[in-house]
Amino acid sequence: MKRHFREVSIAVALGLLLLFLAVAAPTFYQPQPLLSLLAREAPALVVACGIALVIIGREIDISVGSQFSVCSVCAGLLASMHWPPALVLTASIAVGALMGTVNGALVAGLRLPSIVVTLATMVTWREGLRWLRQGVWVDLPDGVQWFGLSQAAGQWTLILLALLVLVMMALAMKHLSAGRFVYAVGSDAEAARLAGVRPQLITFLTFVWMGALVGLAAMMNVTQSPQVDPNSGTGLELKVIAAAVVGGVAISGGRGNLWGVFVGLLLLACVSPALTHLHIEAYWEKAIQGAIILLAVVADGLRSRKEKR
Amino acid sequence: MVPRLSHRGQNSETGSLKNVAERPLVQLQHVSKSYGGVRALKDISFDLLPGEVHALLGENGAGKSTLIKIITGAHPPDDGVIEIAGHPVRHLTPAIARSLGIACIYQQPALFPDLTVAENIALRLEPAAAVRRVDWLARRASARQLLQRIGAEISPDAEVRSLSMPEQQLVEIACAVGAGARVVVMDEPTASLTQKEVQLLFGVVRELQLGGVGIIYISHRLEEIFAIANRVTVLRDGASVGSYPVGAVNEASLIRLMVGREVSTIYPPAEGAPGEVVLSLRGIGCTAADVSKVTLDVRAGEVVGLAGLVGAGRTEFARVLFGITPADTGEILMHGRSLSIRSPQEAIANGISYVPEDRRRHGVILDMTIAANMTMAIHRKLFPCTWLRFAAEHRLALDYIRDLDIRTEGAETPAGFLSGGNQQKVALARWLATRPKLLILDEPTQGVDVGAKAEIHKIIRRLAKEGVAVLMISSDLPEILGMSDRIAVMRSGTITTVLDGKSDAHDVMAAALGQAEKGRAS
Amino acid sequence: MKKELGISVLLVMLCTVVAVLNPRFLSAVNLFNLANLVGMFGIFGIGMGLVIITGGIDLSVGSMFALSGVLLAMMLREWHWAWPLALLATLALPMLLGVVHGFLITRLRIQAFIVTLCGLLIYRGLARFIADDSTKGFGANAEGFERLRDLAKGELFHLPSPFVILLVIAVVMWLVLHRSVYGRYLFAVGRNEEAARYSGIRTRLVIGSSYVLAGLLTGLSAILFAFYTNSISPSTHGNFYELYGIAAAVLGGCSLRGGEGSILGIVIGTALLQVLQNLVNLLMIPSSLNFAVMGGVVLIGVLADELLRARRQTPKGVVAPADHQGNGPTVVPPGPK
Repeated sequence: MKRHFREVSIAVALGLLLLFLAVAAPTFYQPQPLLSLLAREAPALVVACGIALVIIGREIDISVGSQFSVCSVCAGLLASMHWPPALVLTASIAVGALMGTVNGALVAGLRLPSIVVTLATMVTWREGLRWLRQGVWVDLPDGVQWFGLSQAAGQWTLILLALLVLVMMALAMKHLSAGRFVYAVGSDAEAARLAGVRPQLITFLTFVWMGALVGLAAMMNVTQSPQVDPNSGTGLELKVIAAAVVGGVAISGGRGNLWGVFVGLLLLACVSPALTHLHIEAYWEKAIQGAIILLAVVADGLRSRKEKR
Repeated sequence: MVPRLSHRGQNSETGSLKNVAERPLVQLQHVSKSYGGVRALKDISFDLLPGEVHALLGENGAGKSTLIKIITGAHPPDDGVIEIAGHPVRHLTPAIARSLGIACIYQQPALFPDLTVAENIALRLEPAAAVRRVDWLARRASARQLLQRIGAEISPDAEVRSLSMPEQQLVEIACAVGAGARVVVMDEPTASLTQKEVQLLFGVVRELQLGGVGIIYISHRLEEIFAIANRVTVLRDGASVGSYPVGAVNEASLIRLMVGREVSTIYPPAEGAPGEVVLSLRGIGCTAADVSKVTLDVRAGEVVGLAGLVGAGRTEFARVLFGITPADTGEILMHGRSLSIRSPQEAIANGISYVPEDRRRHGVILDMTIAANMTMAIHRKLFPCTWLRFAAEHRLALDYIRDLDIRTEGAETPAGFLSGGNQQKVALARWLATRPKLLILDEPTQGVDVGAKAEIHKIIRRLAKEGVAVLMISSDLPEILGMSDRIAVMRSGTITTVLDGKSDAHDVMAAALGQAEKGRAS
Repeated sequence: MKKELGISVLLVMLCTVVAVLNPRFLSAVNLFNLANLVGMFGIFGIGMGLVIITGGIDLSVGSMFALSGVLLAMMLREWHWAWPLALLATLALPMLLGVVHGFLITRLRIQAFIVTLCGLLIYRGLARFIADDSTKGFGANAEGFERLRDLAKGELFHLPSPFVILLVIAVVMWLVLHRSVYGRYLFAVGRNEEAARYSGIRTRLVIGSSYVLAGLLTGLSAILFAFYTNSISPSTHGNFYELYGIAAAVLGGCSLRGGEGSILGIVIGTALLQVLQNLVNLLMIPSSLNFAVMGGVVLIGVLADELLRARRQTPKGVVAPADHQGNGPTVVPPGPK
């Protein structure tokens, strides 16, 4: 039980929040808006899975928001040129993977600190996109939204897709040797090297994988509305990193799992609609999320203090 | 699964060289290595035969670590030939070395702190194939089996971060045994093991020998080398001074070979009788540090050795005295006056100083100059108006450099540029500058080469003569026996007996193990 | 000294380039305005430098500007507090928050990055709540507060008063950092907190006090910024200003790992950044590229630091020992772990 303390406690917190909402703001529980909420958060879940892997490997990637915007716009443009959806998806993933490759090459190849590299690429992709597109939205043709299915069906598809990614990655991180290598590298890269693992390669691949997931998530986002907002990725990195931290992924690497990240994301995502239904000003959203993150790390701090005694 | 080591029939317990007249497992010929202009190894030739324990001896900086790095493939040599099992290997990497059966157990275990013991062992033993299913049941079972085999009582599900250093080393040994290595390099493996664990280790070493495994054994502890090794190679300044069968040398000749000059192994004698009681402890305890009911008197001019097995609580006790984990029961009396020590500042203010065990982490700030390091604890005295006085600081540093014979280019060199022994002297100087009434030394000569060790011992004796009360924690039994006027033995967080300084090793060890001691208690 | 020399040369070169590209750079008005900005940014930049030297970081500075700004405006104009009281309160608030940060970082061992990131989110929310999400100010000409406004925006000895204040603070802080025992403590704690503790230094107090001192300087800057803009929108005021502070400190030689830095470097670094900003404006480059420029600057600064560190690590005559505590690349500016 102790090993899963974090996941259990935030699940309990989420449960309490939902319970509270059921009593104080029952309007929260309308099926269609809830479904829309989950569908809207599905891309973020996919990205959060990727970032959790990066952080477990003792790196960080704050360029995911910009990557997301770039992939969204690319996907939108290709879709508006009437490419078949499967090809658009592939292209989106490829673009994401390409951006991930740049990050990975700089971090793993040149041994630069990941925070600095991804800060640079974040700014580069964002400003580059802004310069190219001048902030213009992309109109999508009919048939792209919701994959041409009904809204509800489309939303369910997205949710299930995200859950599929979550389950597959969780299994891989526990039962696939490649997944365990990420934990090893994150825990002690030098020991990993001595054990025959190639830390540089592992790090590189986590960034490429991250990019690919962002590409997938961007496509999932594009199919949700008739237009593509070139700023759709703003703030994404904060959201997913916060979800990971709340979910028990340690910034120092080597520990954490995706179930916590999942619950963490849900918890943080519920804040905004909860505020709406409780008739509290929307600007509290960021502050409350900050408080949740703080609570999570304070709990960590208190617990490790207790363990030291 | 874990391969079984083949036994080559019943040889004598020390694993004689009877079946060993064959091809060397490892052979280095004319190997050289430089790091940025500094020659770490010069034209070294070295070989390891199957079933032999080949000790590697040398002062710090003599080239032992570099030699090991070359054998394990961590660094490539600049010149020379490496032959593994008779075949020359051109580009040795850690992965290739591993596959050829070379395993290395370092002083600092290279384990993954966030992962379990089972996973640590598995990651080391399983081939690094990227796409393979992980069988957790099998992992835990084989880990359990390996640990049992070497007699270690460690749970496979324990997180390595929560293990003590000796336990981590045992995990490392389990990995080496499990890897079925043909060549095992042990770099100071007994530095933090209890006597019981050292015997365990020797047992494992002998079993490996019987299986034809060759062991390269690096240690500063000469008595261990005589106990376990077949041959010994001495390195000095990057060159090999010779390889000798262990029976052909003795302690004195080995030291002479290492140092290149005669160094006395006799410890400086005590001069004068101890004065009045400086520190009196009555029933000191600290629950957080697992220290309880410590009662001890230390006199001015006296060196009290604090002996005990690793884990007996000696460093924890020192930290209680120094205020890092303050005592919650008992009385501390200094010159008869009762004290409360709740922080290092209070300890220092009362004349208690502590030279920590881990010099790199706690003792010396590597990036700061020697002078800044030396004044780190006496700011209030040296800089009463809070303004730094660089001239005064420099003068003080030069005084101590001369006094303690610290080998450096100047007082403004960063401390990280010095060798281990000289860094220890800088740490010592910092605390001597506080003019303590009681000086607690925690493993003062650990990782220090023989020459500097003797100098530090002389310094300790001089301090005692000047009236300082010295409490010396050491795991080096000869050092305890040679330096102490009295020996306090700790076990399980408390002092069980206090023996006379002229006791013999057996009595001290018996007391440390908790057996009925046959010596005199005082 | 080498680092400061290097960036001074860089500054001079940059100024020359800008002056050549647009001679308006050298006009009295432009230089005055530049000095004004350097003053305001430099004051809290020094505070950020202190925190970084101890091995920490403070990301909440921008949100503190918003919170302090709206509070100052409301204290003076809506709650009619006496101005000394209002000023004191504005200085005290960031100091108090610094105490909280210090406590969380030193007692609960939470990384500074996360603590102050949460601060960034929480304080801005508080600012928006207190101001009811409306923009606050001091009136068109700060009627009733002309003395304050002049002090904050005016001139002293023909130089902008924020710049003069910066010079005074820089001198004082230079003495503190490079000539006093407290400064030694800051560096020691930043280099090796445990070894400092074992030397009898009260590391928790040193680290905590660095946040409080930075808070004081932040509060001072907040007052100056509030009067400078005279329009404090709680949702955007001070947005990303912490990046300016961090960039200036990094440029000025403060390593994000702690234990290194100089006051002179921070001041020159601030000037460098403001000149860069000036360059962006004068060359009509869209201001959205500001952050691109700043991000680039931090990137280059950190890279340079890493390279120099790697070169310094193996000095001649010392063979690098086997290091198996393989610390991976820094994920975030490391704080106390």
